[in-house]
Amino acid sequence: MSVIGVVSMKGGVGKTSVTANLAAAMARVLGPRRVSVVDLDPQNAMRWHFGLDGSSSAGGCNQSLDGKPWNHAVLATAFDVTCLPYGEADETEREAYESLLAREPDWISTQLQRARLDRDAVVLIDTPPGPSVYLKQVLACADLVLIVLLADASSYATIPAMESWLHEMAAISARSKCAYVLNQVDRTDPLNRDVTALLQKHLGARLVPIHIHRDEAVGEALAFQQPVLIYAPHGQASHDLARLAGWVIDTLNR
Amino acid sequence: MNPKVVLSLWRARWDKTADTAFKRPYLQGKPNAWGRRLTHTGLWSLPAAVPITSLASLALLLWMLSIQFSQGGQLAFSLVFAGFAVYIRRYGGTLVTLTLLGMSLLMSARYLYWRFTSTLGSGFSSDFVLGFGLCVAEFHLWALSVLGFVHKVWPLQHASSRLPAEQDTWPTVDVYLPIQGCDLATILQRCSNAFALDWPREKLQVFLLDGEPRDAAMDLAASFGATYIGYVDKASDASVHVNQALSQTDGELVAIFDGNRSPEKNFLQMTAGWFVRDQSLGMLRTPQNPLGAEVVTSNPPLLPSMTSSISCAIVRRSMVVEFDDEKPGMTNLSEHIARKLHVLGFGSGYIGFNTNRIPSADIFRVDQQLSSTPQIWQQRFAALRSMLHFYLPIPRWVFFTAPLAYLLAGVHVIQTNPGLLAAYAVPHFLHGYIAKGRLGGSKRLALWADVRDTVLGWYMLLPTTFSVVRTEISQTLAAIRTGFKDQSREPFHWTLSLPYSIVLLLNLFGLVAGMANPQWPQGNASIDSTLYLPWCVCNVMLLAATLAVAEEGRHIRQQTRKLSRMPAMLQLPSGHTLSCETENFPETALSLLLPISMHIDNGSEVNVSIFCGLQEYGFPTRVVSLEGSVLSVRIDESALDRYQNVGAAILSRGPDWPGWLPGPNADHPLPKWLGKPIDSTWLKMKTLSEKLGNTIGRSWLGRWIQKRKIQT
Repeated sequence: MSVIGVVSMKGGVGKTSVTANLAAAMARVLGPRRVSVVDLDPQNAMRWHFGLDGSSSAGGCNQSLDGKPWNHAVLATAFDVTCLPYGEADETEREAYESLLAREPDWISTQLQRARLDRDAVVLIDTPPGPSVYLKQVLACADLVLIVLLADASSYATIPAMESWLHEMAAISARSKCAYVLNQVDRTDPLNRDVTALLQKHLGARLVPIHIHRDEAVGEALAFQQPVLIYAPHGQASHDLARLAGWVIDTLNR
Repeated sequence: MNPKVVLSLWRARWDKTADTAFKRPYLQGKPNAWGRRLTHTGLWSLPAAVPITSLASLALLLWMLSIQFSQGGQLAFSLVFAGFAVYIRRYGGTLVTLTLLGMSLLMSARYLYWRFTSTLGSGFSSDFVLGFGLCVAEFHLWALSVLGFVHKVWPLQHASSRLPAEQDTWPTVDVYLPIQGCDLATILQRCSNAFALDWPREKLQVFLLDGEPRDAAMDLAASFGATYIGYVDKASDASVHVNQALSQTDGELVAIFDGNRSPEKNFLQMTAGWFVRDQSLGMLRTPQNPLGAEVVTSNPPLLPSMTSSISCAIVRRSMVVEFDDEKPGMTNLSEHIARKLHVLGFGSGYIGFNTNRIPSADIFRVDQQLSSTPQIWQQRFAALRSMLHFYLPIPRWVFFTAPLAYLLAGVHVIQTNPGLLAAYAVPHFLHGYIAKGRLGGSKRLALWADVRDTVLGWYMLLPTTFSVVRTEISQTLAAIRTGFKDQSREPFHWTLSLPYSIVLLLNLFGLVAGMANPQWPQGNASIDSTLYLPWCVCNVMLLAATLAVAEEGRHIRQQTRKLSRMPAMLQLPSGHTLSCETENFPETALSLLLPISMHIDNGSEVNVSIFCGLQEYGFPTRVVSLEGSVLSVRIDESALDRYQNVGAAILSRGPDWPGWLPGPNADHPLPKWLGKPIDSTWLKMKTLSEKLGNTIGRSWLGRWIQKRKIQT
């Protein structure tokens, strides 16, 4: 079982859409029943990317608080990806969950073990932005950590914080590989272009060579509750995500 | 793209750490101090000190030339000199360079003297004839390198003459740019260079001389403010048009800039002063960049695609129109004008020297260049050197076929034993390599020059032979030369590689024959195993490299066609993107293959990005038409420049070369089980010697040496 954590220091970079679309792209390559997505973001937005029914309130949060395994709350989607939403949780439930995670630093990895997934299964975990208890746990158990950035100045400004965070976590997660993913790259926008070049120079090999281009289709796909690969298969964003999936698979295999 | 750049690209591609310096910087130490003391003594200012010392040195050289050592003696002699050279070459400074050159001169002269006197067969047997031919070939090469040394040691000093202060007295200048056969981008470049010349604008007029009238070029000329003269005759020669234009224009001076490159900004400032000062001056010739740094150190650049004369001429019009040119076939028009002027009694000056001319053999035969033009001795040497270099293919082919004379035909071209030959030849090569490396510096690596010259050997050999015999054939030369620009002509490729393949096969046969010789390795045939067989192997390697270059040329031509399909992205005004492919990449009227059919209005502005590797290049474009799934767009003017630069950069294949070179372990040619022990032994020896050095340094001997050092 390979675990991919998708993180970011800043909100609004498109983490959830990258996670969902990447999962769909990998499911295209790997086949059905191999890719799963775990949503640890209290926003609970992952389910909309797959057109899941919003009526059910079960999710990782509730299941954990009730001491039940996660398998019961996992939902199948039409896109060969199984999704575990965060679940509808009010403020007290969320705080209880987070204090549970703070008390037991291996909770997430234990739950993943309990799920008894196949050896060749891939789990993508979406986290809320910024330093949080979810991030700590994911960093501890992930084989590959993808840090999503936008090509703008504020993303560039968060890199030092991320680096120091990763450095602290290096003791715990010595085995995980980290890579930065640039989202919404647009050459026609001068600032975007310049920051992309700056990030390429600054991050060098730590930046994934495949950037995800800005494409209206990504937003529209969410509006249609589909992954962008299904909605606009010939768009550049779909193309980039397909290549990113290939890159992730190669990196995990190495 | 020189070897060092290719090596660094290869290293980057295989993720090897970059070497900060390929070569250690030169040391400055005791030898330099001694050299300075030697050159700055007051002894040199004594009367006749210099001539006497020169004569004495020359006598010493001649005497040392002719000393016949035994094999052991020669070995000891070479070792001493070689050791000294290897030690001294680490130091910088002109005196050290001269020392190295002198040693190379001595060793090579000794080698050649010995070859001519002791290794040739007797009488007029085939041994003697072929051996003599080989000796002459070696002498040719040596003469070439000696002239190169001379040229490096006594470079020509350039003079200038200042213009008068009042600009009203400055002459009007017409600039002629012969542009037949040039594409628009080149014309644009040359025009802008011509207009960038530093000369009062009202006294400068630019004329573009074209072989056939072209509308696009006419518009380009108008946009610059130049005059466009398109002739309807299809003569491919610039001199014809120049002659016709001379009678049509009225500037006082005429500057003719032929060739693909244009002169520096202050060209007119530097040269017109001579005309003002000396009213009888008819013509001034210079190489393209008379005051620019000369990149060519040992071998002049002669590439098949370069046009003939990379020279400029500036003439006084009144004197030139007095004669007509009855030989329109001559391709080096400046030479011709100079000839005629001289005949008419006008003066012709020469700044700099033209070592870069392809048909120099032409000039040699027809115009007796060495005798007619008044030139100083350096220019004569330079002309001689360029002639020798032009005939270089002949000795090169002699070298390729010499071992075959023995291996396949049994002719003893070198009659000596291997030990003596090694004792004479090794210092010849070693010192030659050191001296050439010293002069060439960072711009030429030894073997690459060989490969390149070998590639050019066949290309130049035919024209060489013909042009000496018949001058009219030079017209065919001009046609062939312009034909060479057309890269799609496959027959040219065959012409280039077939003779090499033949000689390579012959060399392989020779290798096999030599190894199958029943007397090998003992008996009289021992010399062939130590001389001719390794020689064959070297030939095989050089020829293989040559064929690889020809193959790469073919690969490049194919790649050009493949490059037209590049991954691209279309960005629509609505923000949607489409991943597509280009069909004809470097063209301005780009057509894209779309994966789906869609509707876009004609004339709408879309952005197209081309992906090359990890790079993305975006250009604003305008939709021209959409037929089915093929979208035609036109790149906007504002981005046209950048687009053409990107196209040229991608097509130049620079970063592709490392992919073409062998893989990540190419810098470890030995297998691990062989390389590792050698490596570790070498390392152990190094540490041992270091430890030894430390021990001695700490002992009483070391302390004594230290004390001596501090005192001095």
